[in-house]
Amino acid sequence: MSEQEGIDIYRRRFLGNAAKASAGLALAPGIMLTELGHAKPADEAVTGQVRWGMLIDSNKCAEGCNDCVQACNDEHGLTGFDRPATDAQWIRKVKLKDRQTGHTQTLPLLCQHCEHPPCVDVCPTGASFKREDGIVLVDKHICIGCRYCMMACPYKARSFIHETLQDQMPYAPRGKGTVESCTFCVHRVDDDRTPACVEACTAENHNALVFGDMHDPSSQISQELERHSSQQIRADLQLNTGVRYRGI
Amino acid sequence: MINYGLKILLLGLLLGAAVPASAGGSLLPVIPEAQARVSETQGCVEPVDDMRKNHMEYILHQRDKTVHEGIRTQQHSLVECINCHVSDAPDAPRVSSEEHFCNSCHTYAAVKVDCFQCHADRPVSTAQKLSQPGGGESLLLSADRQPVSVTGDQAQ
Amino acid sequence: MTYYNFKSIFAWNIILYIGFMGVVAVYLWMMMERKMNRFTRAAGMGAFIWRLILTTGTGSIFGFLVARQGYDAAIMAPMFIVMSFSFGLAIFILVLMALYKWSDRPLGDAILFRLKNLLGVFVAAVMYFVLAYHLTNLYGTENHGVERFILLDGGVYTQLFWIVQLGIGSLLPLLLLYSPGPGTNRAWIGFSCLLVIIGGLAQMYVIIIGGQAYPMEMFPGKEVTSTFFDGVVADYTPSLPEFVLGLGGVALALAATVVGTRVLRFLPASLADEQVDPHHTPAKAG
Ligand code: SF4
Ligand code: SF4
Repeated sequence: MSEQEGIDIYRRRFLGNAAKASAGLALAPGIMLTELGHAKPADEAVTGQVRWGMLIDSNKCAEGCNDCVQACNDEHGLTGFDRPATDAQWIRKVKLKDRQTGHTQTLPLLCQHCEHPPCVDVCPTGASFKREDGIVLVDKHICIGCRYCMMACPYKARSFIHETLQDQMPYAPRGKGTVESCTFCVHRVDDDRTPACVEACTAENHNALVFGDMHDPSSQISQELERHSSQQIRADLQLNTGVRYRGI
Repeated sequence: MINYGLKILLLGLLLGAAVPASAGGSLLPVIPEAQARVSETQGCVEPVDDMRKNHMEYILHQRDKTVHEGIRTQQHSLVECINCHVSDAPDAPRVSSEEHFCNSCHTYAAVKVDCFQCHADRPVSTAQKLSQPGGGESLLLSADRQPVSVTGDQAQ
Repeated sequence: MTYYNFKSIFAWNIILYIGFMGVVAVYLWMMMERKMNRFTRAAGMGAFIWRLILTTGTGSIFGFLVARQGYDAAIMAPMFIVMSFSFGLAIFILVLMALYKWSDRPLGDAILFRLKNLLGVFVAAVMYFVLAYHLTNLYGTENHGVERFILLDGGVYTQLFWIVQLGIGSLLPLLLLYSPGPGTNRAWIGFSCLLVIIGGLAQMYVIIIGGQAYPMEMFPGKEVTSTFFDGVVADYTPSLPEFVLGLGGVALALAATVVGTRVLRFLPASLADEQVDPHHTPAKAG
């Protein structure tokens, strides 16, 4: 490849985004909605018009299947240090057995992306925050590692990094001394793709996970939520979680 | 006598200082070439002079925009800096080495870079090639990890 | 982009602790500067009120945690206040006795007995709060799990609660402080103070570690298993650095006290009975 070609490729990639943005502007707003779905131009901030959510059907979640967990670990480069008590787990498979009836079931548990997240309430520096579109994240640049959010989260969804890391996934920066949890694969979502766990579950044809915009009445998740009853874990806390369950 | 010794000392110092210069090595950093230019007239995403002085401002600004608002333009993105300035060869230098683009200059300027405590110091394509990112042991086996056997919530 | 999150009680505690140092500095200044002496009382009152708010903040670090069965209770704030009265006074008595002994200053029984009687009241008050806390929890079935854990089968936490916190740290000192023999003996009073401090450490351990060790109830009525220790009692042993860090804090406070009382002239030259109590009759009555 000649030098000029290289430059051209680079330029094209650069201009790609600008083109996407201007194309969006050129279309009527309505058309943009139907045509591009949630694809937002890269230079536009996320808004509260969207609320990302996930519906997990425990009845479809297969016992012994760990694909969602594996996909998450691979996607974000989560590695273990042979210290299971502190090794990061953004999503985990939980097995439940009813004490009265003996009925067993499994389901994945992850950050519930609460609308009123206790982790955000307690964080002294504002490192724990909720994006406009409902995704709860840790801004690791300002996290002081106090771990108060880990104490406050009702779902045990957060992990703390104890070890020095290298070769992180470029789109999933993580480092020693900070707290982390499921990001709803925010780098994928901003790119109009589905989270890795959902993709893996669907690929396996289990279809236990549905991801989408809970504010968009035509999205699959909104329609399923409307049609069938669903639960929030620890609904008593009134956190209005972004992750909903069926069959628990 | 004292005078004589001093002169020798001075001479030695002078010679010592002259050696690196005369050996052709310069104290200036050797900065690796980037993979591409933005255009024929411009090398980097902002004029090079400006980038040398203000890259951290651009990155910092972009950092907050990306993390909090989901703005993912490429122009001032750290990931893109690395994609362009660090080779994706498997033996590409790490940030700990002076041959790494960032560190070449940061060592010269004696300014510590913190970015890579969390961020990847090598391009996306390198990460995709690596089988065990993260520095720990792969969790690929996590499916086989034994669930911790439970005493139940022994409380009831 | 760091900002101060005023909804975080943790963030408030930073202000409260640092502010307290400032308030105490003002108090000391009022005491030391003769011209300012008339404000001493007001400054002292200010410092006292500040520390009440401060300890409310500390207790609320736990009280505000809605997620955990062991916390999430308004009683945490007042309980922490009374606990700080009790443990603080025990330390104060010990420090007072030591300082007066080492600097050969007289410390009369009148003031010492007054303090030890007050300590007894505080110890009893802490027990009352502990009782109220557990009774309230025991009333609601949803909290039976965590109560059973702390009170019955929590292993080290249960032992610490009954034996160290209640037995050695509360009932025994109460008995010693108010019984005619040991209650008037300095060595026994000092020993009782030590017991109160040990009991206090145990109580903090049960609250802070025990409250987090117990698994959170996410699925009522279900048994939970996972690779992430769901439904399992967390296992924790303080590491050496943690232990030393804790000890270092105490050491620092004591060192500051020793230096302060040596360099600044705060310690009354005498706390002998006739100084303390104008109505004191030298003929010792019982
Ligand atoms: S599940 Fe936990 S970490 Fe996630 S938003 Fe809620 S409180 Fe925060
Ligand atoms: S550990 Fe980080 S994110 Fe969590 S509360 Fe502390 S500063 Fe906030």
